[in-house]
Amino acid sequence: MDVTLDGGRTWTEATLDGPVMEKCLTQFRFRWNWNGEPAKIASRATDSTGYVQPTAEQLARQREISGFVQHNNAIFPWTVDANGEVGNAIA
Amino acid sequence: MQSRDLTKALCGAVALAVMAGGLSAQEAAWERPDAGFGTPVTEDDLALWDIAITTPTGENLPEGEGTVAQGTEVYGQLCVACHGENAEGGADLMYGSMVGGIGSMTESKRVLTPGSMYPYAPILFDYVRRAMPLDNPHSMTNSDVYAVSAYIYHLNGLIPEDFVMNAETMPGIQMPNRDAFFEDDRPDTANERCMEGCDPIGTVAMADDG
Repeated sequence: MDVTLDGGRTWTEATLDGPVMEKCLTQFRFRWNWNGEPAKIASRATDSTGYVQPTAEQLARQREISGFVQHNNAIFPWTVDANGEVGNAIA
Repeated sequence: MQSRDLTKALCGAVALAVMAGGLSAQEAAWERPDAGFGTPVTEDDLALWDIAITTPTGENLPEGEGTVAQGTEVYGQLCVACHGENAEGGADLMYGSMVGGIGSMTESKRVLTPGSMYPYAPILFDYVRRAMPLDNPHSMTNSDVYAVSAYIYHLNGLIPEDFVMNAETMPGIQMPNRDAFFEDDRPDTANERCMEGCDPIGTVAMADDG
């Protein structure tokens, strides 16, 4: 599991809570010392076959899936503004 | 789902024991004697949970049977309050019709019912047994589930009134929408696990914006 704080330009690997097994829900942790600046955060999963979670644009282009429908497994980014309010970053 | 798969899906102490060098659950107990609580599940108990039906073939459909007439009774007791007379739903009720709409899958206003949409008849058995009635799911006898399934499929015009529904007869019901399902063979997405200098995540309009 990777996490971005800058809207996807850079990513850092997060820590998975064990045991880590296929087809099991797995929590992850990422420690972030927030500097109070606006941020755009997201997580991105990679499964045991090497498949990387797609962006919403990739999924829309490849499968015509967007919005709150079935089979939408796209990366979901969130905005954090300077007063700490969180919003969704998918238009 | 077979009971073996169900066992494997239980992530926890048993799986940890397996990871600890291939020992059986009992033997591995216990490098961590303080963590060895719980008891192995018996096959009989697992059978209560092993209710998934392989709907294309009807594999794992249980014993029991029901008729359209019996289903009419069951429906009147357990279903009519939410689903309406003759399973037609209603504007003042929770749910829409479960009858009709056959052939509407290619129209822009589809009418989704067990008759018009399901590719395989046993889907109705699986659904009703595990989820219905909504306020008391998984409470019906298998025969009552067969019976009310017979009632619904008869209302949808897919079986005659004297049909006897059971594990042998249910998979053979001809379903009008079976051939409408096809394998989605479009290639999957191919995102890369970029870590630096990556394209920023944009935004995508919601589905109902066109």
